[in-house]
Amino acid sequence: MARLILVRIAFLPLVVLGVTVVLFAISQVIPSDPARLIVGDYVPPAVRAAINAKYGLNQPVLEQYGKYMTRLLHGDLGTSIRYNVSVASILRSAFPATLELVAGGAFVNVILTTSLGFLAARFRNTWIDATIRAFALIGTSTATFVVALVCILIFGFYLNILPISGQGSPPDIQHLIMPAFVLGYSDAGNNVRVFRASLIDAMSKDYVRAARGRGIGERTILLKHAGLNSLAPTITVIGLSVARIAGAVILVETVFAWPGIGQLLDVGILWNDFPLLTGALLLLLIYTVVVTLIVDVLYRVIDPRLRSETS
Amino acid sequence: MSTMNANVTAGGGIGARVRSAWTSDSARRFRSNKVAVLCTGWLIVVILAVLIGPYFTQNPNQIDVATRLAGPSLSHLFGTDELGRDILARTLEGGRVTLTVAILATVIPFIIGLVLGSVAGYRSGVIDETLTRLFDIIITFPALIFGIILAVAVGPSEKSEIIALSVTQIALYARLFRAGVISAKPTEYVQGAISLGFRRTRVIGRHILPNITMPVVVVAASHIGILAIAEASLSFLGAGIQPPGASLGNLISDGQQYLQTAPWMVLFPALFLTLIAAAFSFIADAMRDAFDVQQPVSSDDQQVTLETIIT
Repeated sequence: MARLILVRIAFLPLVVLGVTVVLFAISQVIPSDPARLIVGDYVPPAVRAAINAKYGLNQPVLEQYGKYMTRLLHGDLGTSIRYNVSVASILRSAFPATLELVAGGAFVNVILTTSLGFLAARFRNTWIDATIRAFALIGTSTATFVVALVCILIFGFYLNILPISGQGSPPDIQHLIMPAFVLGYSDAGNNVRVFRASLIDAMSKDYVRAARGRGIGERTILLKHAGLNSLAPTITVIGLSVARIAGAVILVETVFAWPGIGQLLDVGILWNDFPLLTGALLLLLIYTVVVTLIVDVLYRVIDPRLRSETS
Repeated sequence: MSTMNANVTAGGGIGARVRSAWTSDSARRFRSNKVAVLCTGWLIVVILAVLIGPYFTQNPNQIDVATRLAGPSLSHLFGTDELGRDILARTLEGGRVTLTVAILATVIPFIIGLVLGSVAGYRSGVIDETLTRLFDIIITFPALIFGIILAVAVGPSEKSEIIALSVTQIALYARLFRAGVISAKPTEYVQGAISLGFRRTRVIGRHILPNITMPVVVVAASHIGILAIAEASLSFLGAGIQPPGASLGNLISDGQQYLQTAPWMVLFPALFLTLIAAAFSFIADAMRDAFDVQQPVSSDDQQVTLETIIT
């Protein structure tokens, strides 16, 4: 297991290297003029040249890349074009809000997955099961931002019971409810299906038949015997959801004007703010890799059967 | 097994092949699933509507300020937007774009994955090892984030979306095909074909692939819907189709600020998108049942099925 963790940690710099190389390579292949994007078309070429010189855009590619990487290793992500302050400081102030939202989303995801999965498996092939499966399927085939907008329409505008944007000042729980629900629901559908399927699969195993033979009640078997054995795959799918949330969080933060990393990305796209975008994307990717690593380790800690397996 | 029968009996050209595919047990099982038939019908209607519809509706870019933000009426079934453009016409236009991107971003990686996966699975050793590591790296890359990176680097467009979404899907198909080839290679019919001295391409193309492709087709079918959502998400964030071009994503994004006064701007495109994605989901589910596709068994493949949702 130590080897697995080491391999994954060694993977991290590779991801950073990969992302930065790809970004640089693509930006070089395509002829573009960042100075024009910053000040527009109607500015003398000399001014544009000065801007290019200021940001070091007139130097050879490798030199630019070398400088960027050197700065990156010193924790300097450059200066945001939109806000004109250091990207690192912007990210630092926005990250806690994103983490809060992700934690809320993960909580909702866990609650939905376990409760709905249990109910669907317990009342298999009844209308309860059918309703839950439909709910799960709607979840997987509805875009995250659509769920968000429909929630705003219903709970914000028509019922007027929940705030629709921002974090509140000071941040409060009401502002978190809707974004966290949308984020948690966005990926719960698939998890419910996996948990239900693995519970039903476990219910056909010999140890369940043995437990039934000893006269143990159906609910206890489902919760204790089948439930514990279905935990490993379920934790894995939930964990991977939490890793993948990096994508959905961009959409949720945009719709709910949540002051986190995702909203910075939205601003970055709008303003062609390359340093801000690179920094924010890098942060989200590192988050994804780290969470995936934690899931991999957790998976083996929970299920002793997998520990001896070499991968 | 029935898929194999369909292929074995289809010696008499394409006509016979189509006929036997239509009358096979699998096809009959599929047709007996009412929801699946309904969804297939709905998708045919959608495809016809987005292709032929524009000849019957107004020009999707026709501005008419006199009727701006008008609710659904007989002259504008879905209402109009802030510039008085007909939402029905724009939804069909956006649907066409979104579907085109989704289908291309499924077919292209399917073909590339088929080739790479077959090669990796058939030729074990260094080639397999290298390709597998490559797939491992690609599959950790969230599609949405890669789409944003590419959009920023090369400028957002239909093309940048197709490339970004395709690249992130290659690893999925390659891993599925690789696993299929590895499981089929030691079987008697493949070993028989090899011992008859057939060339490698013939063994893979005529003997292995016909028997392992169906499960991957099922995955691809469910993915078209998910990719439609991914396309809409990118366009929603401004990293996809640019105005005045229409995509279901940027239509919804446009309508976001008029959500309270003109909810039809969001609701109709959103409903259209959801129904398209759900239809592909249901059809894939029915195909899974009808063709008796086994869930992959090794832990490596489980990883693949867990990666099915990308947004």
